[in-house]
Amino acid sequence: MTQTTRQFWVRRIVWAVLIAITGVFVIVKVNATMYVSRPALDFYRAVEAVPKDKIIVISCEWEAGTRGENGPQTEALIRHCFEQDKRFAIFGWTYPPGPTFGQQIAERLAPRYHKRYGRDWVNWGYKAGGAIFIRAWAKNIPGKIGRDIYGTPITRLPAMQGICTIRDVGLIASITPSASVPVWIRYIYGFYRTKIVYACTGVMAPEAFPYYDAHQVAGVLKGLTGAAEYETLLRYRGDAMRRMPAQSAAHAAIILLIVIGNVIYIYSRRRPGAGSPPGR
Amino acid sequence: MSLAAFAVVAYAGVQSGIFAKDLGIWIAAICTLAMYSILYRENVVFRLFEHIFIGLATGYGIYVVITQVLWPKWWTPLVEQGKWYWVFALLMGTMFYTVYSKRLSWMNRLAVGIFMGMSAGLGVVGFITELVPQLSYSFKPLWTSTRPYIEVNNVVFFVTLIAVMSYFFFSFEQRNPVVKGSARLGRWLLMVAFGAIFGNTVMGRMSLLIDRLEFLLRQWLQVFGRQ
Amino acid sequence: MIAVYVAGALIAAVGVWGLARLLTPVFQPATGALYYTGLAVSVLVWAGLMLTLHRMPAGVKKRVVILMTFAGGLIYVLEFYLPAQNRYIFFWRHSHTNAFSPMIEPIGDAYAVIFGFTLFLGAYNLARVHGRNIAARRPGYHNSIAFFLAFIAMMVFALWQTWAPKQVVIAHLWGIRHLTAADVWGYLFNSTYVPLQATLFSVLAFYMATAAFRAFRVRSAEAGLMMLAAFICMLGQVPLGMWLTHHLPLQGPLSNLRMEAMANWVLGVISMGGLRAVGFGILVGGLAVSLRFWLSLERGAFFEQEL
Repeated sequence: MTQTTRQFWVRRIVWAVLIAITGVFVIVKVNATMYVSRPALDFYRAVEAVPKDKIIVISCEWEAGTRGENGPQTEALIRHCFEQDKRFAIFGWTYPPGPTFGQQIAERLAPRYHKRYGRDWVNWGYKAGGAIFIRAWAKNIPGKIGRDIYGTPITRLPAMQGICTIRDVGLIASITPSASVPVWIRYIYGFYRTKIVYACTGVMAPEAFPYYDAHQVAGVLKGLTGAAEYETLLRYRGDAMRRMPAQSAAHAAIILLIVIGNVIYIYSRRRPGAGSPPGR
Repeated sequence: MSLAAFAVVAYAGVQSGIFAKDLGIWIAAICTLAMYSILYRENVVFRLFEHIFIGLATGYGIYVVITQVLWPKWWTPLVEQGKWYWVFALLMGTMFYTVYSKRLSWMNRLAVGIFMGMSAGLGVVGFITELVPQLSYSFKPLWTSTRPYIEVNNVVFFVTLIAVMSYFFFSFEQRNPVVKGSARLGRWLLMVAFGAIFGNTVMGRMSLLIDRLEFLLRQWLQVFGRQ
Repeated sequence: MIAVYVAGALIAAVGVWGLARLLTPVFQPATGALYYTGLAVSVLVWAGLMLTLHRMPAGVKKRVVILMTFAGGLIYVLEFYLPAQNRYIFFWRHSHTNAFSPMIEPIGDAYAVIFGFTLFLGAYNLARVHGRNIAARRPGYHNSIAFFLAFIAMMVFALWQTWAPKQVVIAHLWGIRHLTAADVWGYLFNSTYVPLQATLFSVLAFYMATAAFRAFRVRSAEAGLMMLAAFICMLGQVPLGMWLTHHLPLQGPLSNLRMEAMANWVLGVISMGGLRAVGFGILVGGLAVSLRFWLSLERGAFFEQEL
């Protein structure tokens, strides 16, 4: 067997092992317990503390590519808002499909909580312009947003009654895989001290902590784990909690692969006259 | 031949309840498996579906921009509200398309320059609002008047901050043993941060895989029980 | 020299503010003949301005680009740094604002619309590339045909379902009684676009596994420390790791040895400290880059090309 062929099959075997280990725990139901971390608890408390006369802005800045993490986060947050009878506005300014995903989740959950679009929540849709739009948006929300995702002027919607400027926004929840939360921090928290909470993907989680420590974000949900912690606080078993056993298995698989790879490497170094280890 | 075999297996599976009956789930499953075919090797099916994805993504992006940005914020004010000056937005927007003409590309430079200037100006403003709280919260109390008298976490944080910052001093040679030692410690502590980043990256990527596996094994292959 | 630049900046600031004050009564909604006159005059003024600039030497064009780049950023910088309620210079009556604050909203609106127009550039470029593939019958041109079909289908059905979602598109299809525009769009978006993108991103997990097996080698103590931190963070955030140390108490000194406590400590103390230090460097570097762009000091192929 040539080196290239060996490398080809070693890779495929590694992938098959990953799929097998993870797939077993997707199929088999395992009850898991999550301990809630401080950033997730602060996220939950920030949502709870929003007064009834203010609106929560759920900024769905995510796409289908990160639906595995941001989807459960968005669902848990919308559930929380429905349970607490807090009106919210879905909004997107980085990726066009974001508000559509948020709307699909809200419409799926609404019948369970007897909520109605327009009365209990509104979808402002996608707005282009990036940081410059966010800077201008705070001073005149109805004027800048204009119409909702269906083309209805937002001033006609009951959920928008009394919402004029950033002072009427109780909380901004930025759900995003990208580094867009600094825009909220710079131009909204920095100017108006509006509370921001950040639901990020696992990749961005370490970078969220400097902001969390400086109180620029009031709470952080770290990827699927954060969503599972939030579901634990809300006392329901959703997508995130259901996937935690598979997540554990995947992590164990990666640790196993690292250990096996290093064992093979050490063994091949000690063997006299040996070439590179397989797959190298 | 393989397509025919797939069709036979699929039909038998749907009839016996192994696979889902919903057309939408079948389309999604075919798309998912087509994309995963890259894991075996480069093939025409993956390329075809990749191009389909690019077409769909572009089409959707254009649709959202037309219906949620241009129609309500440009066309309606211009045509229905008598705001004739919104024609300048169209004129300014067309300047960007002059990038394809060598003679007129200076207009693209002008338009890009204005946009870049605005973003840069905003960046200068945002620097202050983002940096100052980070600076002020870096000064944490290192001791308290109650037991255990030393704030261990704050001391570790402070040492990490100073050590890592000293590691990045490249504008002068680090001869002083204190600075050298601090930079070395910073490198070690940075390794811990990189390990944390790697761990969280693994977490993030695996979540996306689990989402697709759950769809294939529970929504498409219903023999394992529906979600 | 600095005094010249500062004076120039002040003149530009006053010029922008003065121009805005002058043009505000002109830029008002109109109807009938006035509306069409406004449209025609706008196009003519714009065309005249661009033609005049086009005939100028390259040096003049470059200076105009530099001036407009500077003016674009100046509005935001002055709006932030000038004190509010500065009655003595600008005679402004309202609080929490200065002379430049009223400009922020209309500029934001205009920027959003112009940005929307630029998004068509990407689509145009893609169409150009794939169109050339088809015209020249290059290998794999059938993929380009698939691109165009998907693009047109998504555009057509997305717009169709927005304006007439219940309109029947296909009647009496096998297995389905009829398909409406909303149904077809649902299949295109939820059943095709979303799974394709989600799967494309999930392929990264496999490359992560390959990297873990092939590339993550503990060749030094530092690499070992990095691996240890990675293991703690990976285990401490999933139930498996929490189960490994669940027998330790939830409070007291031993609780710090629980896997989730260790992971949160690594993330919230050491990693946070290191990334904050890196963040300071990034922020200062970002400020330097912003200033270079704003003052047109940046070099490179794009900035140095002939105008």
